[in-house]
Amino acid sequence: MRGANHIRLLLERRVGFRCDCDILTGVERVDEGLIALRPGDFGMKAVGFLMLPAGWFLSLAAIVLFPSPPLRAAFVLAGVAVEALGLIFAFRSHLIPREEKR
Amino acid sequence: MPAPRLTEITTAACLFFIFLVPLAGAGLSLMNVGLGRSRSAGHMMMASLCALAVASLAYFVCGFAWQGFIGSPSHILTVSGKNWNWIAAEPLFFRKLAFDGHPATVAALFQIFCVGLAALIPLGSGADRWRLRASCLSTGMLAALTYPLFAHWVWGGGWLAQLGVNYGIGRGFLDVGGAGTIQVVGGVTALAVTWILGPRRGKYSADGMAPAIPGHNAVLVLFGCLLALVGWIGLNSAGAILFTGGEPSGSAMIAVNTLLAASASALTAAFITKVRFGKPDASLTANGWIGGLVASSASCAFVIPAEAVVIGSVAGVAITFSIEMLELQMEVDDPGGSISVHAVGGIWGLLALGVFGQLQRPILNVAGDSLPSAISGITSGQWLAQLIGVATLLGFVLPLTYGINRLLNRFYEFRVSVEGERQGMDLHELGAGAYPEFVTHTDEFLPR
Repeated sequence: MRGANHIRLLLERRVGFRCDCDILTGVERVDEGLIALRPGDFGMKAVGFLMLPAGWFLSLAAIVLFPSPPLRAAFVLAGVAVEALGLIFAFRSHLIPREEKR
Repeated sequence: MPAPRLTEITTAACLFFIFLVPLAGAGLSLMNVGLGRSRSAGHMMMASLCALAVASLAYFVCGFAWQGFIGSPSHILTVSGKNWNWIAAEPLFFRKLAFDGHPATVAALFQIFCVGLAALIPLGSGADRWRLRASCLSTGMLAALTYPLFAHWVWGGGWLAQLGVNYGIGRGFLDVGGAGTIQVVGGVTALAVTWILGPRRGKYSADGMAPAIPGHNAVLVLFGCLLALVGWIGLNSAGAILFTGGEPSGSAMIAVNTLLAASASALTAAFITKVRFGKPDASLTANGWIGGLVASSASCAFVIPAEAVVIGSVAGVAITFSIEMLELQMEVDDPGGSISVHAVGGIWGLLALGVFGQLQRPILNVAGDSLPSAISGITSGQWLAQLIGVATLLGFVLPLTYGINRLLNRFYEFRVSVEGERQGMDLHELGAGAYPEFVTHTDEFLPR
């Protein structure tokens, strides 16, 4: 459940990937002491834009490495899923911080 | 891989269709103008003209050299005994083209219009705040690097087109009229530009509201849709002849499919907005129309009309909700709806080819006639080839174009100053408004 809470907070932009101990420590400490990830932060942007080509490379690797059609399709789909996750991070990292809205 | 051959009649028909393509550009330009503010209308039209000019010149200088044509020299990487064709190795400045009716020259003409069309797409999303010189710089990079690279992979006999020949994945990645090569490439560039520029001032307030900033001229927007239809029929027909080896006689079905997809998409968007908001929304209906055209581009030569209607209807739903989600949830300020219309619509069109496409006839330009599936009529794995193409667009083209534009933005700031945005792009950058007579003069109300 703590892991699920962490993912929820991550999606709500309250914590970042850098706080890898969050999963173990739980929600209460997340709000107090761990690094908050604001919209526009470089970290989330970098993660997003690294995951996009990572997913593409996974798809390319699947073409070369797996001659079996089902396995190849599964790995290409996994690559696209990684890209989708990267796209979500890229979008979230470009949300406008509240104080910059005008 | 040998270059395809065209008969004189086919070449003449292809040239006729190619000459229709600039009308698609005119339609998109009018839409971008109409969906922006009146104080930036002249600037938007000027930017469209400059984008076309820059794209043509950049493509002439090095774009075609890196894109090439089927059968032209290229740089090949051999992986596990299979050739991966990455980039063409033609000389710069069209030097090898004799303009004697060879398919490569016809393709060069077609491509120079296509790259202009792709360059117009990001302008819609950067409306009211993208400086003219910055948009020219970005267009130059799009036409010289991003577009030719992906277009080579799809239309120049590159590795995506050869997925079928090399790995038995369907008939390779197919894109008849440029749903991926033109529209998604333009759409993801629009997304990158929008992220870099940020929203227009006043679009997102601190209290979480996102007030609508309506376009200033619905007539221009809707007339642009009609012009775009004619251009798209040319685009899809010429692409089918040049890049899939289709006959000119097949253009009737392509035109019907193009029109039906646009119609279904526009009516779906109008219906959704009528149900949700009480009245059909003109700008969303126009976006639906263009989205239907975009979605039809990939598969227009390989589906029956009923399937084109389904493709268009799904595009209408996807685009309508995508525009709303991008604006309200993702805080992406895209005045022209370019990202949803061209990127989302294009991706759906590419995937729809994998779902609905009937690829019985030989596809000469990707050597599909040598595949067993061409003989039996079975096209297994086409959806996977299309998915790999979409993965390439999201995983390679989007980061590439974002990186290029971010780098350009460091050297020359994309966004106009606060004062310029308040004043309007027309006055600030061009020194004159598009509609000087719209100004209300107080002396008109004085007693004479």
